[in-house]
Amino acid sequence: MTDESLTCPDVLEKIPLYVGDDLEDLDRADVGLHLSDCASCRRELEEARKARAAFVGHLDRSLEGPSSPSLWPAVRQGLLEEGLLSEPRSVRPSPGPRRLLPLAAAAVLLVALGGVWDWPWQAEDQPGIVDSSALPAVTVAEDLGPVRDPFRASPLLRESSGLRRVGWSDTRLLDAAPGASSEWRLVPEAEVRPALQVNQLAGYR
Amino acid sequence: MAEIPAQGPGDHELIRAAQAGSEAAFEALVRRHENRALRVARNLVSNPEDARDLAQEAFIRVFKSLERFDFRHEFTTWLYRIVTNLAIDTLRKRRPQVSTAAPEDEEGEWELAVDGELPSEGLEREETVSQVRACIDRLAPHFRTVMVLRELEGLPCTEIARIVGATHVTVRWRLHRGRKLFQDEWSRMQGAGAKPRQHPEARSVRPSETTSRPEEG
Ligand SMILES: [Zn+2]
Repeated sequence: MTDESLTCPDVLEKIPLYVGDDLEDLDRADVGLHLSDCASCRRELEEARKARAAFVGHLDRSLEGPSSPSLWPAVRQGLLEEGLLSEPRSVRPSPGPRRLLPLAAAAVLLVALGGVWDWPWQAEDQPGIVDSSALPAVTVAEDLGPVRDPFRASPLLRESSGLRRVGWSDTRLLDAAPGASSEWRLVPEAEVRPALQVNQLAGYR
Repeated sequence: MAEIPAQGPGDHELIRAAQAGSEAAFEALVRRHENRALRVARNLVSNPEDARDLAQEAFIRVFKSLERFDFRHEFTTWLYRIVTNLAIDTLRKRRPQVSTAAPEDEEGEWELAVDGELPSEGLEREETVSQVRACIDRLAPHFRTVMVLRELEGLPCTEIARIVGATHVTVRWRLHRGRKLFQDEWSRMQGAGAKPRQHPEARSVRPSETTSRPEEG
């Protein structure tokens, strides 16, 4: 298409997109050429620009920045009310590195047990369903030092987390809630899919 | 846009963690994207309380559908889609249906909100902000959505197409039509008797074949 093929009506139809730079390159060039030569269409473009400026200028960007309170408490409350999250846990005031120590112990225990046990919850007939009563309990006894915690780097995550995970090949350790007993339940990675089930499982305290 | 750059785990990582039951990961996802959701909601439904409720509901729906998240896409595409769908529902509930509209002509049905008094009849002339707001409020939801995603969020039409579940051509048509409708309304309010001189070749607002309305999928 060349500029000669564009009539004033053609150009007027393209102005609403031209004004926001939303035309394809070729169209844009053709319209630009026509406009350089047509005062009537330039006046229409000017009107379109004013209208667009009014629209854009009216848009409310005031939410940018940290001023407005977070939605999270209300979202969380909504999820709790719908039974999609476990109840709030009692959180210790100053969760320190010690919180992770039992996890380390459990992770190590898991390694020790993993090669020996025939995990009962790997039954194929109920994919994704975890029967927590069938899970072995692991007693944490020792301080074995720091373990890998994928959320450790983020203060945001660390701050509110009632749930810690320790990655270990195809298994996960669930529920490291502060104040939990020294009993930990182990769940194979493949079974840890629906968040709801995991939360129910992990929400025993 | 002025989004705070993501630090720590990426969205997809957080989603995987949330799928595995990490409330903290989900919280991080909410906090990272809540301003985006609020901003779009606020500009679509106007009322700040409604916008907040809407954004909250959007995140609850995100949570409910976490398992179905398609990792081939960005989380933001999905979030925008949920927010805009909720906003469109809200806007449509708010206004009476235009009973005379042909059922198949959805675009026609929703071009302008025809209920209520015309803004120029009820607003003080000097209140430009109110005038603009009134013009925006008179835009049909699907035009408003595309315009807000384009002008506020700066998203390309291809991304908007993914968000609204329409073709790229449809999105461009809505953008074209929405801008034109807004301009007509705004000019009318500005002018109110002193309408700017029209181009001698200016047609009615019906788009020509070059921007013809695409088939709605
Ligand atoms: Zn011309």
